[in-house]
Amino acid sequence: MDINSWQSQLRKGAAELVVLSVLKGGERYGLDILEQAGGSGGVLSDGTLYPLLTRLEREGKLEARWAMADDAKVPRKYYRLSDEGEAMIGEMQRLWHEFSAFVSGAIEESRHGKRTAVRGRTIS
Amino acid sequence: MESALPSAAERYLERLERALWALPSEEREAILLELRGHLAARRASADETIAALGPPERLAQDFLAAGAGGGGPAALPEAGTPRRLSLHSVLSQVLATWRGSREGLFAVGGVLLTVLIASDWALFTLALKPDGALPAWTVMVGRTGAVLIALCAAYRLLLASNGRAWAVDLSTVRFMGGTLGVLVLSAAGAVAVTRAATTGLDAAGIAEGALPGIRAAVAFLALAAAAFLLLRIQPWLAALAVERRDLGLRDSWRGTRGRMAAIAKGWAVLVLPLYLLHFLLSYAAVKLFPLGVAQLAFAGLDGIVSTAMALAAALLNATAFRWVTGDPTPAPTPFRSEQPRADLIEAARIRLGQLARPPELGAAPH
Repeated sequence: MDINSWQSQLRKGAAELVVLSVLKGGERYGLDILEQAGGSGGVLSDGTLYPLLTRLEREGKLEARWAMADDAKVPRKYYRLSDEGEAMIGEMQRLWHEFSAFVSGAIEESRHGKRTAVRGRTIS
Repeated sequence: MESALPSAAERYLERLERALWALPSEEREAILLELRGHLAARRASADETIAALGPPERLAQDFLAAGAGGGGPAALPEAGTPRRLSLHSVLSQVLATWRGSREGLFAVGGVLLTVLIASDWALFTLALKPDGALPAWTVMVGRTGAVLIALCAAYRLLLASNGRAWAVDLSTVRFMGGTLGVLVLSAAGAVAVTRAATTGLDAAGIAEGALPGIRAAVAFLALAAAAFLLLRIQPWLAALAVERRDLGLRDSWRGTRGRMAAIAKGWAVLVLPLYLLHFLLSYAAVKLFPLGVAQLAFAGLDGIVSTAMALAAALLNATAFRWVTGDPTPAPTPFRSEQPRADLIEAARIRLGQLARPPELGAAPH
């Protein structure tokens, strides 16, 4: 299996959660979001961020407005969570915690040869 | 307002602008403005930022895939076009090819129109009054030469940007020689097949009454096969005109293999109806009407139809050339901003009234 392709898919799925989580803290513009998510293990990049913001805005999870910041020479587009996005992010974070705990558990258990214990477990 | 971006960043935005041609202008400018701000803020590390953004054509595709433009505009034509294309997709790509250089094609159209009307009138007149002063072959030679030079210029306008569209040089000669050679070989092949079929039919003792019909059907099939084969090597002929040595006859043959359905769709819709109309007009001018003003009128009509046919064929062949080589489809000319970048930003600021929520520019939160 192509590990890069798998990693790319993994990042793609997580990027939406990262962006929405960053915006949970308040309104931000593109570069600001990227810098806030800077330590996110390469989930977000310059090239993936803006199309993702476009999609999330289109899907109604984000709202955006243009504004001229004092320190900028070009107008900035500021994004914030919409009501729908606000409602989704809590649920998404809960599911992510369950999912990551399940995956981590499965990995740990397989390391120790306890694969049978994993069977039958599901995430809600 | 001057953003003073590094030239590499400006070039990146120009490529992105071209690649986003399918979007409505307001939306395209909004994307460009947002990325301009991103690049301006990272001016000190422009090269790294450009690398992190990835190729502009890929970024444009990601924007379109993300639903920019409301999902309405056609997908961005990409290098290595998929083998199966809907007629709508074929026509939209041919249209994009036309938009990319339509000003130049007006001159080609003018030359074709003049040459075709004049030669049509001369040929119609000669067909009805053969004792005219001008032999028909001289008209045909002049007409063919002028049409081929105009087609060569059309390919250069569509596929190259060196500003030498009308130069008659070695590549023009190669294009003319290649095109004539291919046409002569195709016609000879079609005639040979028809003759062989006729001989076979005679030997088989087919009733004489049925022979003309069968012979005509064989000739039609042979010509259709020749036309099909011709379409497969059109990208090579275009390559001769624009001196693209990387596209040989074999590459053209292989490259069109999976795309003939798309090319044939475009040909059937864009070229074939005009060809049939050209045939009908010529037939009417020579067979149905007595020598007089009618031939001049038919020459005018046929000149328009034949010019449209030649331009449609050139556009379709240029599109097929791009499919085979993987060259990008150009941005439509009206979308290319010739204004200084600062002006683009000012214009975009005015349009922000439509984009912003609330309509007026708000205060920055920090």
